[in-house]
Amino acid sequence: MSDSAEGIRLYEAPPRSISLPRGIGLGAQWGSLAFGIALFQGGQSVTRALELGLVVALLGGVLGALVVTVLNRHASDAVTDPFFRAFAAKRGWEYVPVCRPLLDTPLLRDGDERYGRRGFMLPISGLGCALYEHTNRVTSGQGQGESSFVFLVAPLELEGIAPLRVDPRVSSHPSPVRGTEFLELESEELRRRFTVMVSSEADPVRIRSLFSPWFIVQLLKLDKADVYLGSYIEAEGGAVLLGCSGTITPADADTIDATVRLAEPVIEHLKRFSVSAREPMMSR
Amino acid sequence: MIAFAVLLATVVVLFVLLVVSYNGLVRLRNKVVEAWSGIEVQLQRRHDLIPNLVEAVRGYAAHERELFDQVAAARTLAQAADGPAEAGPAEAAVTVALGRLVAVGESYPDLRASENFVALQHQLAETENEIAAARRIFNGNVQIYNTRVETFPNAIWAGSFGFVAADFFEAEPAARQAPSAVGLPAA
Repeated sequence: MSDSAEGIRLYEAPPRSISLPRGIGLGAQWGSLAFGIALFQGGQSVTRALELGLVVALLGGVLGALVVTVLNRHASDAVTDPFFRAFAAKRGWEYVPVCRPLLDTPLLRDGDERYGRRGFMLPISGLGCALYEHTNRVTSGQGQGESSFVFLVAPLELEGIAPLRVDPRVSSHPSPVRGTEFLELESEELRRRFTVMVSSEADPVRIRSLFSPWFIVQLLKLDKADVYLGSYIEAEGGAVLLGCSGTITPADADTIDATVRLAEPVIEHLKRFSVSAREPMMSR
Repeated sequence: MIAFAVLLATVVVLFVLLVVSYNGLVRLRNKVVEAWSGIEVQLQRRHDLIPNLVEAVRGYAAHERELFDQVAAARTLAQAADGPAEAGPAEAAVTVALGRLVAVGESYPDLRASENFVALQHQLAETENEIAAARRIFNGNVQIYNTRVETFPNAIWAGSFGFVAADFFEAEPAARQAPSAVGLPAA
């Protein structure tokens, strides 16, 4: 999904919709059921009942199709609102009302189904980044349901460190993800709020140059600030993700601006780290 | 017999609580020491930049001998400082001296345009940022550690095991929040 030459691109997708055949099927099913109950109470003849049943099922199907069309239209209108188009245009960004979800990091790939909407393609520190609302849906097993996040994804390769994961600490004894190990940094506040995992083969000097005191403090600041950053950080392949749980609504315009403002120095730091991996002698 | 069992269970529970609490304090104390090492690395980086900055300015303002001596003296004192309580005022003096040195350097247009001087200023600014961040981390750890040491039930026995409140690292001595006779706790 990411394109190293142009940065991260968001591609338009059809609005998330309820399938039309499913609507027709459900309408017919409910129509037949309602008719069956009426028949049971009215005592009609079998032939007459079959004729009427077919008509009611057809009517139910038509009604179902109508309801689905109206709902889908409403869903489509809800995300293509002109507010964000104007918001993005004013800042020189590109707006994608409904986008294909990115799949570059584990959190993006999480869930059985994924959807993206209200996406912005914007430059941060000279990199083409994407900020959008990402929803994943778990359809079976434990944790069924939907979770919405807002993610900022930048085209950066953290060579020698990735896979990197910074997650909110949910347990006092978490388990590391395969191929990674826990990183114990000097900040007790960070340790209490996050688990930090880096590649088990990462060089300690490289780790130290990424997790400098300044960067640790930035992570803590992002977590406390009213921005769409700071809960999750992931780096894998050629992408770095920063994000948190949440949705994007027109009331969040200031939050989007604050997010981009606070992300700038962090992305700059990651970019410098990424460049220093390719030019080790130039790194500080 | 029942009384003995209750007494034994109480002793075991208290012992387990003591072990957990002790280990927690050791971990926090190590965090404080680790964070202090982080500050020392950044301070050393700043100390290493000073001779280069002095040389760069001396090339244009050799007559500012008093200022160079002041910077050198502040650096020597800061390098000799032991622990956060001593390092705080000493580093504050270095900051003041460096500020004056840079100000003098900037008053010479040729020097201000020099790539070397600009690079040194940039490195200095970067190091100051790292010192500020490292100080925040250290003081955060000290606060968590001190709170644990000074609150019940740890306050009862922490002193007996050598856990004493640690000093904050403040650039301004007057702003010190928790005056304490003790230095950095031993690891």
